[in-house]
Amino acid sequence: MALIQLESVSKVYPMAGGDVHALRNVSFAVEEGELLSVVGSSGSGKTTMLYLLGLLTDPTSGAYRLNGREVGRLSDRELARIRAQEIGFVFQSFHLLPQLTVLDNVLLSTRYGAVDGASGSAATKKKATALLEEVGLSHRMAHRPRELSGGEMQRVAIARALLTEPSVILADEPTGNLDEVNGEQIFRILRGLTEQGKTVVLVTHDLALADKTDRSVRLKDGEVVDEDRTAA
Amino acid sequence: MKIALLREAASNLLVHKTRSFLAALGIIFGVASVICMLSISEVARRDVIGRIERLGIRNVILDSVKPERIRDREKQESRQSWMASYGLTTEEIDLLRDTLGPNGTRHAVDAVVPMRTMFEDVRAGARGADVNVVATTHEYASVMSHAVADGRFLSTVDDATSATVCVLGSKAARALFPLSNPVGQVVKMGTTHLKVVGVMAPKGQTGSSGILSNPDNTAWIPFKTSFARFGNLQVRRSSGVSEATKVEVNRAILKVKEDVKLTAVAAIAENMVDTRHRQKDVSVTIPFQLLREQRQAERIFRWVMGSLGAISLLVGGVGIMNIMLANMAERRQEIGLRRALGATRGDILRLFVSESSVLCLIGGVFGVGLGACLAIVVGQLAQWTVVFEPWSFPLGVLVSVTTGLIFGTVPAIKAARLDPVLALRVE
Ligand SMILES: Nc1ncnc2c1ncn2[C@@H]1O[C@H](COP(=O)(O)OP(=O)(O)OP(=O)(O)O)[C@@H](O)[C@H]1O
Ligand SMILES: [Mg+2]
Repeated sequence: MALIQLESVSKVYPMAGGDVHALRNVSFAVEEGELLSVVGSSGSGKTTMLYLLGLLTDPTSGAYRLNGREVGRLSDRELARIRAQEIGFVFQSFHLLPQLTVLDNVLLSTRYGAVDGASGSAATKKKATALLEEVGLSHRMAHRPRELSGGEMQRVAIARALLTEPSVILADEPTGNLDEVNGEQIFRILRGLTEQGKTVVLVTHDLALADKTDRSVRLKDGEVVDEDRTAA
Repeated sequence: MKIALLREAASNLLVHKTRSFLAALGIIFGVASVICMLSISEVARRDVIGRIERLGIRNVILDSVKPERIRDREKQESRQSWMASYGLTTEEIDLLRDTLGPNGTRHAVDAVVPMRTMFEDVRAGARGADVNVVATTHEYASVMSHAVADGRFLSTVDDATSATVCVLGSKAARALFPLSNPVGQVVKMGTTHLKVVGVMAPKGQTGSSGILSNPDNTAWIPFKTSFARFGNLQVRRSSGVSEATKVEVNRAILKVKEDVKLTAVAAIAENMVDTRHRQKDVSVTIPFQLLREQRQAERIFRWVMGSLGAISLLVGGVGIMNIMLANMAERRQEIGLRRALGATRGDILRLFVSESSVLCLIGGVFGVGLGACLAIVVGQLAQWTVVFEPWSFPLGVLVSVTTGLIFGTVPAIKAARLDPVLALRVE
C-alpha cells in the first residue's frame, strides 16, 4: 500500500467574497522512497496540498491515509505527534528562529514529542552535530541564522527536518529563494534522502527541477491536471 | 520539562531586553508601591498602637485643658502679671475616689491616680537637666504598668508624710547621674532637696506631645509633697511679668474595674466634673476607643492601599498584555513553525503564558526589591525604624505572577488559536 494516499480530497476556504476552492477532488498516491514533485502556477493549490499532507490543515471532504491510517479521525494531539515524529518540513523562507543558534535551531525539532525524549540530551546533540556535518555546516553551529547565506540557512532547515528521522519530507519551494548552484545542492540532498528510503514531496516552480524527480503532479485551479512519470 | 519551558521563556524575553524591561515596568512600580505602602502602614500602626497601649487599655483619662477664655487672655500679651485657674481639683479626685473607688459607693474603678506637672528646675549637684517633674501617687506605676529598674517607686507613706523623695525615669536618671547610681543621691528642685529612691525602666512615649506623655524624661515626686513644698501655684516668670497658673491636677487616670464598661465610667466621671465647673476645662479620653478608631482607620487605609495597588497592577497587567500581543504578532511565523514541528495548541499556550509569567516573576522580584529600598529610604528620611511584614514579599511576587498569568492568557489563547497555515505564510 502507498505511504500517502489522497482520495478525492477537496479544500474549501469559505470567504466573505465567496468560497475559495483551493483543492478540488484531488486523488493520488505517493510510494515509499519516492521523490514526487508538485508543480503548477501561483495560486493553484500547491502549498495548500503540502500543508494538508503535513497535517497542518484538514480536508473539507475526502480521505487522507498516511501509512494506512485515516488521519481525519485523529485528535489535535495525535496529529501533532505525527508531525513531530513522522514528518519533516522544509520551507521556501527557511523559518529559522533568529534568536537561536544554528545548532539550537536544529534541536528545536525535537522540542515537541521527540522520539527519544529530552531535546537537550547528549545523544540528540550528537545526532544534530552529525547532521550539520552532513550538510557541510559543522563549523557554523554556534552562529545565528542571520550570519548565514540563503543556501546555508536552507541546509540548516533540512538538518532540522531530518533530526527526528521522519519518513516523509515535505518541501515547499525549498529552492525558491536560492540561486541555481545552491538550489542544485539542496536538490541533491533531497534526492539522497530518497535513496535512504525516505519519501519526499517537493513543491516547485522550477520545471527543470521537476523533470529530475521520479514523478510530477501538475495542479491547476486546485485540480490535478497531469501526472507523469519523469526520470523513472 | 517545566524548567526547560521556563528557561525557553526567559531566553525568548531576553531577545528583546529593552522591550521586556519596559513591559515589566508597570508591574515593577505596582509591586514596589504596594510593598512600600505596606511597610509604611505597618510602621504607623505599630507606632500608634504602641502609644495607645502604653496609655493603658483599661484606663479612662481625664485631662485638664485650658479653657477658651484663658487662651484668649494669653494672646493679648498684657504687661500685667495675672493668674489663671482651671481644671481638676484635689477635691474632685477625692470625690471620684469616694464614689467610684474600691471603698466608694459605686465601686467601678480600682484606682484614681492624679498627676500634676511642676515647673521646677531640676539639678543634681552642679548638673542641670531638662527634666519634667510630675507629682503623683504610688498607684501610678502599677496602673501604667511601668516597671521599676532600681530601688522603689513612690509609696503611700511618702504621700502621707509629704516626704522629700523622688523617683527618676530612665532618661532623666541618665541625664542627671551619667556616671553614678542615682539611688540614694540627692536632687534639688527649686530650693527643695529630694532623695532619689528609685529609677524606672524605659517605657517610651505614651502620647504625641506634652509633659505627661514622656515618662522616661520625668522625675516623680509624691502628690502631697508637691503642694507642701511648692504650693498650689505653678509660676512662670518672663521679663518681669509673672504668669501663674493654678491647676491642682493636670491628669487623672481612672483604672477601670474588670467587667465595668469603660464608656460608662467615662460618662459618670465627666458628668461629675462638669457639674462642678462653670466652663469646659476637662477632657475625657478612652485609650481603648482610640485603639478601635485606629483599627478602623487602618482598615480604610488598607482598602485604599489595596485599591491603589490593584489599579497599578491592572495598568501593569494591561502593559503586559499589550506587549504579549505585539510579541504574538511578531512571532507569527515562529508559532507556525512550532506547530509544524509538532507543537499542539496547548504547547503554544503554555509557551506564551510562561513568557508573561516569567516576565512578571522577574518584575515582581524587582518590584519587591525596589519597594523595600523605597521604604528604607522613606524610613531614613522620616527617622523611623522600618518594619516589613515578612509575608508581604512572597505576596508581592505571587500577585505579580498571577497578574502575568491573567493578562498573559488572552494573547496566549490568540497565539494558540492561530491557524498554522496562515501563521507560516510570508507576507
Ligand atoms: N487560509 C486561506 N484562506 C483563504 N484562502 C486561502 C487560504 N490559503 C490559501 N488560500 C487560497 O487558496 C488558493 C491556493 O493557495 P496556495 O497557497 O495553495 O497556492 P500555491 O499554489 O502555493 O501558490 P504559490 O505558488 O503562489 O505559492 C489561493 O487562491 C489562495 O488564495
Ligand atoms: Mg505556495
